[in-house]
Amino acid sequence: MRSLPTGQYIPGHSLLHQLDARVKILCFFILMAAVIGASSLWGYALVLAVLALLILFSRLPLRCAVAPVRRISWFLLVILLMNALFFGGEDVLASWGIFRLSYGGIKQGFRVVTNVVLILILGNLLTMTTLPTQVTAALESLGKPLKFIGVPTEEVAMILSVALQFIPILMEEAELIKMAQTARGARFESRKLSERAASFLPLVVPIFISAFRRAEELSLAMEARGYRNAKNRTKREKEPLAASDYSALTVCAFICLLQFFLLP
Amino acid sequence: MTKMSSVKLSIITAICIGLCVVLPMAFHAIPNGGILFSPMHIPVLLCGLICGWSYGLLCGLAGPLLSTLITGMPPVAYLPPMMVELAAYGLVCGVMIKLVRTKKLYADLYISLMVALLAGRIVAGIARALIFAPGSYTLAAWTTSYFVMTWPGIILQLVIVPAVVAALMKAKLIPEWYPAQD
Amino acid sequence: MAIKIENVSYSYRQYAGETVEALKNISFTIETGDFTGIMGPTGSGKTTLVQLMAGLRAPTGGRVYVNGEDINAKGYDKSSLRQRVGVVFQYPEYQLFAATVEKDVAFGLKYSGLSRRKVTARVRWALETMGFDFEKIRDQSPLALSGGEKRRVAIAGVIVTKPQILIFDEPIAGLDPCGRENFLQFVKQMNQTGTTIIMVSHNMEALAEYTRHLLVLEKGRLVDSGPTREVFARLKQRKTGVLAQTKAQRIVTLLAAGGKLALSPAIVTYDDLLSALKQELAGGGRG
Repeated sequence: MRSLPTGQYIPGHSLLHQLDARVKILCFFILMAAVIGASSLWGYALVLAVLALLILFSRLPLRCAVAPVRRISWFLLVILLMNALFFGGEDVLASWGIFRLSYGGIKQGFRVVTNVVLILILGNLLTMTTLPTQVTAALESLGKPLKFIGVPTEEVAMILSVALQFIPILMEEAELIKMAQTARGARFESRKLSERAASFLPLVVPIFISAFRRAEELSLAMEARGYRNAKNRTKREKEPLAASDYSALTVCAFICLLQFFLLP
Repeated sequence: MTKMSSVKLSIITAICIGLCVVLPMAFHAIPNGGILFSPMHIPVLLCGLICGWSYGLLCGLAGPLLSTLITGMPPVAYLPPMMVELAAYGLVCGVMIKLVRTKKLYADLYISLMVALLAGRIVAGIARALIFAPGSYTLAAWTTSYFVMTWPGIILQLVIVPAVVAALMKAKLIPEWYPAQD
Repeated sequence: MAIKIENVSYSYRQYAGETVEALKNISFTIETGDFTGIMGPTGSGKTTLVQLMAGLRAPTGGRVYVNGEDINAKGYDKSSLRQRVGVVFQYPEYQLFAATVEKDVAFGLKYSGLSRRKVTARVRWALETMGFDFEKIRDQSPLALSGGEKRRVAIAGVIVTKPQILIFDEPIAGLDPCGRENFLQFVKQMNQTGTTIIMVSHNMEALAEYTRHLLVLEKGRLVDSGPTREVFARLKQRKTGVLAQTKAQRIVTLLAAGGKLALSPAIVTYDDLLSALKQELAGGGRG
């Protein structure tokens, strides 16, 4: 029952599923730069086309790929309005008190929202085709150079993998505690804010107590087995990158360069 | 104050990271619980206070990252500024609790928390203005997004974090800072 | 009747997306004032059933009635249900949170509308029922108590609302034999004062000794139900499925199988066994 969380992952065998997680993360950042760097209509056309191709390659249903956008659509509206009303543009269309609706603001709002939506879908493609464990392992591998500035990367990797293993257990316990307090008559919908904040205590305090109890048990067990630090762990065999991984990196880098130098 | 072993500090950090994923989900069913109260801040603040600045920093970076990977919240686009903000909370909490020693547990906690909550917001605002949304980020937008919209969260954190620290000490899961006081 | 379960099913979705049926089309009634046991192997759906009866989950099919009212109907007042149905979950000590024992126990009365004096009186009653000295314990931190004390405080926090129906989910897990006996005596007392008791347990002796009716779950289905003795007698006959026999029943089986002594197959508890053996010694037996 208690398997590692699969998160957003949707199993599959598409091109995107098969790419190395390290490469996918690097490509994600490169393409994110390409999105942020887009400044003309042609620039946006390019990233849109790339995104459409990626969705196609991922073989995920379109509904899944754009799901997070729908989930936060009202929040996007807030961003749009905030930009439209607070952006200090010259060409003011209307103003009420501190609010100033300007043409520049509307344009800026649309730009920010478009960027957010595009990066959202990009990130979603990454997490839907990659297991959380693969992502953390890839981050550990990509973080290797940090060791030279004194970051204990093995320790960090150990902490992350323990955290991943704990999540299903903690989730189950939080659920049970919530039920137990509800059965005792806990209510979380008080009007007064301070009361409402206090109403979270019966939920949060036991969750932390039981989580810390687990931490205590595990660390005692680890110390009893003579665990000192993460340095002496057996290392996983590193898989070499395949030709498809290298070509994916090249294509992404090319798109990013195209964005910055040819479509300014 | 007896110190905890580095293994224990690591594991506590790991479960705090885990709680960064779990708490927002537990709050999810409560109307507006997730958005209004920023529950993810609680484990990060606690981790900084209990384990120190380096663990707090890690918790602030890894908590939102794992949450995005597993639950999709926060969405990837908001992840970097959020990681910066939370990392600052964890780090400043850890530094402050080292510096502030008033011999009163709650005074230590409140001072450290308030400084951390302010510092984190300033850092996140600067990061947004310089890195994530250069040019378009205004002081008004900063005040709106970090104070007006989150003050219920600030109250929640000031109520809950000291209570949890005290409870953990009572349950002997972390060492007491002022054992004689009790 | 206190609780009526009508064609109830419950299914949930796992991580990978596949649906798991935890309960399949279950129906039964529990009469007011009864002491009902629920047994079944791990994963048979006992805890889910408890959560459904307490209104903490809504069934995916069927209806749950408490005192004749459908608790999942629109407009049903769930908060009054919380006052009427108390649930003691497995390891209830994990739900303690307040700074003092008194505050923690009083938590369940927060919305009851009782005056402060009445609340204190109730808290005193609940803690004294659980064997505490109220004045001594009230200002202590519940988190700093010993394991057994914590559990008793947690149970006091449930009975403080004086629920008409009290549900226990594996209440004696992790208790030593003495604590177990004390606890079961307390439950029996609660039952004698009119509280309807429902107890989920793995402990065959406790179920045989204390419950009047028994529900047997297996893989989400209700495979048997009825008066406790009859159910135990039937379970002994069943070749497959739930392996449920009390130790007394097993002793009877062993004695019979060894060809030493044939005792009545109706023996379920140690008390039965004892009286049968006494009868045997007095020469009134069949051997």
